[in-house]
Amino acid sequence: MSARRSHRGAVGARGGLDSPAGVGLALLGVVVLLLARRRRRRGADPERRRRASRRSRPAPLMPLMPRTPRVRRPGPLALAAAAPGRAAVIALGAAALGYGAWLVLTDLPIDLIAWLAVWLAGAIVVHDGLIAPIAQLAGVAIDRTGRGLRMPRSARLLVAGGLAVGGAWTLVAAPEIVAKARGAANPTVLAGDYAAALAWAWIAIAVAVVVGAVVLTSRARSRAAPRS
Amino acid sequence: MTGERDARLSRRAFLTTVGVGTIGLGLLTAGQTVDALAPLALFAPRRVGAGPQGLPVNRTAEAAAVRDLALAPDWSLEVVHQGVPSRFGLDDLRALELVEARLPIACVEGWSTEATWRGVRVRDLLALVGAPARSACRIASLEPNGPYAVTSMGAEYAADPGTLVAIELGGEPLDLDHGYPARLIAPARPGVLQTKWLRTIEVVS
Repeated sequence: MSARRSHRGAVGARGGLDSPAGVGLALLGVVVLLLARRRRRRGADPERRRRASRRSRPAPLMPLMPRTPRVRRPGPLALAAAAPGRAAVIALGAAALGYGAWLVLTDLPIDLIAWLAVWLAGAIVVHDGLIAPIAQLAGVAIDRTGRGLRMPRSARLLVAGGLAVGGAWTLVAAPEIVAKARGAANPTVLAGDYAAALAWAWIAIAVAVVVGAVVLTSRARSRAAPRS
Repeated sequence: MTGERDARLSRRAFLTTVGVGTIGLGLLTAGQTVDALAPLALFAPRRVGAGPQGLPVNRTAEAAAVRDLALAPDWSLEVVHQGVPSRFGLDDLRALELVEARLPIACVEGWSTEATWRGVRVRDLLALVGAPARSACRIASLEPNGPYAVTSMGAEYAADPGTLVAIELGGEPLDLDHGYPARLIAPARPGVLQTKWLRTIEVVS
């Protein structure tokens, strides 16, 4: 903790992070992650867990059921050996993230880093506070309606996917529609008719989804029919 | 078991949805840069071929308030070396060796359109005033205000044979909105730094 505070002091004094400080901060992050990992492992210790559950939870309803043996979770190296392709992809992603973080820490002044944090936090707030609840409600509505229409799960997923794609495209087109209505700086800026484009996009999505859903539903019913 | 199957299915469905949405959006916007996709660019803020001389415009002469200065008959480009200004009128520029360059206006907003420019190499102008080809320059526009009215250009741009003081676009004099009487066009320079309505090129090193 004191190491981190001294880093922060360095940031305040110089108004920006030079590269050794950035690397030091990144290393500190790795150490923190490793410590967190060890603590979580200790938390997963069976003896501790048993004691904890005895305190908080009632006795199991089926005491005669054999307790599932605790599987030792393989370490990262074992996982990497088992799936080298995936490990390589993860390593590549981690390297890119690390490089990006290093660039942010070394190239941006501290106030811009703070604004970056606000921007990223804003994305989380908008997603969790607005987009996720709407998507959840839409998902429930699609599921209920789809079940009512005796659509198979695949057809309901197709409807949900179509709405997700159309929603994302709407998020792109809506600002263009609004900006164009407010007046573009010159005729070559926002040259398209984005309201019409959005309408056509939704029509195309609707046609694809309806055709796909009908095919999937009829296929599922014909598969189910001989059995009944 | 069912739960696991469902989870697996929905992950695949999730990735498919994200893939379709992303690739579809790419196809519907990339046409503002990739000519082959231009007919699909329904959601692209810019259109290939829209604008005067088939090239989109960010800042018009009107917006930059340069109309009178740019159309003034006594306009001349000032090239300053060691504090000494040399003046080149439009006819002086036309009398020099004109070279053609096919270079894009590549905007940081995300669109880019290639065009054929004709003009005088910056390094030739520098030679005429006795400055070395590899000179860092300060480029000023007639534009009285604006964040890019004066910009810096590194020596590597000035030395490049593709860096021009362009006076023609597609075989015609520049449109007023494209920087008439003369503009800078250099390879690998963001569109906003391709200074229009040139006033001064000042050697700073």
